[in-house]
Amino acid sequence: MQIDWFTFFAQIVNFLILVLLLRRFLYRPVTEAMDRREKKISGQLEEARIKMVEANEKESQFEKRIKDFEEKKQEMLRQIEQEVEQKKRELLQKVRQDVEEQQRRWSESLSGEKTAFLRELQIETSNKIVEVVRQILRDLSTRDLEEQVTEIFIQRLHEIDKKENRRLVASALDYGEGVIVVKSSFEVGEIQKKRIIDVLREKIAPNVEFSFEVVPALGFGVEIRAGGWRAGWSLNGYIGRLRDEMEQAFAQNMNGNAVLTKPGDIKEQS
Amino acid sequence: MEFNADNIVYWEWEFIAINATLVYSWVVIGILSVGAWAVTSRIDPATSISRWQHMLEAVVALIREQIREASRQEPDRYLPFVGTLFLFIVVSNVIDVIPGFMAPTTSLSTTAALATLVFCAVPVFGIMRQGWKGYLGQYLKPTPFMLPFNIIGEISRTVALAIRLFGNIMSGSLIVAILLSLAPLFFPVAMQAFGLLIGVIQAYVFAILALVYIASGQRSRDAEVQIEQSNSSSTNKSNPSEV
Repeated sequence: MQIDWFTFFAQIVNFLILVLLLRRFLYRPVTEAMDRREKKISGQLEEARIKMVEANEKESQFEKRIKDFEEKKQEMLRQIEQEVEQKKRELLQKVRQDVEEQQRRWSESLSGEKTAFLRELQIETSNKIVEVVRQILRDLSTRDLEEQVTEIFIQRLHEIDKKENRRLVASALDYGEGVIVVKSSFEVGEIQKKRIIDVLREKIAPNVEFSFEVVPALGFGVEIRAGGWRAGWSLNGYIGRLRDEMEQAFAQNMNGNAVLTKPGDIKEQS
Repeated sequence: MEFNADNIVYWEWEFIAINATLVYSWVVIGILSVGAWAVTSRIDPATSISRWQHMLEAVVALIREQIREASRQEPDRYLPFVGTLFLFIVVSNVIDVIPGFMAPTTSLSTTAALATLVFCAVPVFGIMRQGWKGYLGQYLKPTPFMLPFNIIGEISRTVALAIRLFGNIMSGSLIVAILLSLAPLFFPVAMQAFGLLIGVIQAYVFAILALVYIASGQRSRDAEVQIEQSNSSSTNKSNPSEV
């Protein structure tokens, strides 16, 4: 165990050289690389932290904006809903009014058509009835029946009152040139003619002239005309009254019918 | 069998003798230097690095961390010296298991040289930090009467450094050699493995002790500064009117 002094000093020199070499080739490059990497990573971490803060701020800003947008959207939706509801009510009201108007027009048109139809119907019915009755009476017409009719006419003449009598006289004198015409739908017998003349002369004047005419269009009856005055019995009169009564009855029936539609029949759609 | 590498001389001229100690020291220096150069020539500060660079960075970072913990100071000042001590000793001890190699640290000359370097580094670092007066004044603390004891303490710990390392490494080689003659194969191999462990531990011990000696030379000054600062702050608090 002995120290070799040359080796001792040589080892000192060797070690110092080694220190310089390692300082140059090991410690400095490695520590610099580590420091650069640490700075780089620190920079990246700091950058990431700043970006994270910015991102959080932006996120909160966007969330706030989204929330504002959402509130605005809800508000606008509410307004639009209200407007739509209002518009819907208005449109429904308008449609309802249009429908009611249309309904009224239809009702009126229908009523008019119905009235016209019924009127036509009653006229046709009246004419048909008259025609039928005429035909019946024509078919049933015999001498006895004609005499009955003449007797009824004569009774009617007896029933003329004084007032009517004066009018008859006035008419005969004004318009008939003093002649009174007796019309019948059949040939009156001579005996009936004489009786009629006697009654008339008694009623009107003794010197009034009478003439007898056969008028088939009279419709089975006898009548007397003097100017504007008329008296007699004929089928046409009865038929006319029948027609009037039928018309009256039809009119009362049409006024009493209910209308086909009511305003409340059209319901709202939801 | 020669256990002292100093006695294996390869070349000699007058007082210059190139012995095994020097040759194997150069081998260690070569391994460390060339290896470091080979890796750091392609060093990359990026996050994706090679395995060798990773290994070097791990070693350097570990040494730096140890220095920081032991000295409580920035490690870059002491890293070249202490780090080189550790690396040189550990590589020297480890190559001893390679057949044909002899660890330079089996030579007392080498360990004495290293211990002497530590002995010289303590005042150098101390004077660099505190100045001549500040450092040399430590030897007179706590009293000038302690000067010889301080000097003897400095010398003794340096000798202890040298002897400790030399004894551990040389004894490992000696035991292996003796066991080879008694019970070959198994026990020598076990002792060689044990010797590896001892070699690494001794390298760590040598480096840490060197660091502690260097740091202790400056810690007393730092302690004085802290005491002065605490005294001045307590004085300011007791006299608020001076604020």
